[in-house]
Amino acid sequence: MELKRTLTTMVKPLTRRNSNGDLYTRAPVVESQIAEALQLDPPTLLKRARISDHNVPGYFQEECLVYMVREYLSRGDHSLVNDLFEVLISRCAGFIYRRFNISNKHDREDAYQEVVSNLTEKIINLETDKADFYQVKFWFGLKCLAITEFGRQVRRGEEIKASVSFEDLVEEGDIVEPAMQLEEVLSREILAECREGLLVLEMPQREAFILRHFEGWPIESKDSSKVTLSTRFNVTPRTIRNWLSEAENKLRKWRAGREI
Amino acid sequence: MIMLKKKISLEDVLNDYIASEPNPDHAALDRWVSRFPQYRKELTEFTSHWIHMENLPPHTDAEDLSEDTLVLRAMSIVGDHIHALQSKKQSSQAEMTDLLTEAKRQNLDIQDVADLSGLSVPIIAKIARGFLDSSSFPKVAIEHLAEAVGRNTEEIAAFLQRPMKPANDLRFRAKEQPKLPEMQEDFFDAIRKDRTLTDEQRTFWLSLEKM
Repeated sequence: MELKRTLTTMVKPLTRRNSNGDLYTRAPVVESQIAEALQLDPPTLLKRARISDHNVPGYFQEECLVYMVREYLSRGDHSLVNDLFEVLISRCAGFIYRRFNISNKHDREDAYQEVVSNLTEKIINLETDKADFYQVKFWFGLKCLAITEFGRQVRRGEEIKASVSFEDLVEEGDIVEPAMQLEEVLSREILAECREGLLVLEMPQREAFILRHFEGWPIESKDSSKVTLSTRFNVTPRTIRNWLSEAENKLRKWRAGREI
Repeated sequence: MIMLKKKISLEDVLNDYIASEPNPDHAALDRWVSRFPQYRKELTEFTSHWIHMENLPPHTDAEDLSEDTLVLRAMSIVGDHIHALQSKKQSSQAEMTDLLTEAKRQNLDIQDVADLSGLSVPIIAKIARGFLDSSSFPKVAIEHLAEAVGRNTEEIAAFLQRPMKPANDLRFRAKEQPKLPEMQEDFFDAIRKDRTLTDEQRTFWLSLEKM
């Protein structure tokens, strides 16, 4: 029995490096959970994995579950792999789905499925070590996938609407009367009120509006190394100001419509 | 230094970025862009999408999917991926013909296989050449070998049934190549005779003999 324990408690080290060039390392609690999980027979492992309350003794973190999925995949036990994956998915399905505050229901579901697909691909690919990060910081890795997919959805929406771009409607030489001082960021009170109306704005004006007024991004800068709205969208500062003005006009109408 | 930065993947940069910065503010973006100028465009896009996503109001669709449905749909995707992986593995992976070649694929030598499986180098060498009777193997030994070389137990069991083979890659002092044994040896007899096993290892394996 001692011999078997020696074999199965060998926790394979991570091999991927972070952006500093250092090897990723698991948290000590995850390492000990993995070492413990490796000693369990499959039915007991599954029973423990299904403990969903992190305050209950014996709870396995998601990072540990990722390791065990890969471990049993390498052993060829696809039935247990499926069961462990189901536990992992049940813990994060809602988290993934709620990231996508996209008004179109089909796009929302499509985005959810894309994230699940990407996550699965990374975890089950034993030929690469891309799953290492998910054994270190699972939820951040998942959030990164969600943001990337959100960006893909946004870009797809922009392509669909490319035939009627705002720039076609507002020529470079046009002067759009500003609804308010565009050089100033809107107050928190107005922003809180406008938040619900953001979906009336189309892309990319919506994103420009959020970046400007919710995060204070500059429209332009004399320092070419700085990121600005102009460089982000690769348009002139004048175009950005036109977008912001149009967005504010739309939101003003939306607010007026609510007050009726 | 620039060459080193180029080798760092965008995925690793984005993962570290999101894990290091609690809020996707402009100052954080400037810091990361100055660290990784080769990913300026990607970091900027990612940050703006991150901010965009965080600031949208929650949708109020009454027909939202339930948690159970979300899990069911996800597991359908997971199942497809695993199935595709199995099919790919079956079609591309050659039948296992040599234990030590398989080990080498995993960057293991015969000593590593012995250590990982809890057996000895002489035993592993006998297994590799088909000198041990496959019917005498305890299930645990097959499982340990499978785990050691990254194959499943069915593949190891099939491999063990192969006939004895000469050591074509060895040089011999004798004028003639040594003859193969007349018959395959029982696994437990081999364990008993092996002086390189520790007492603990021998006791463990022999405890499985009567099972």
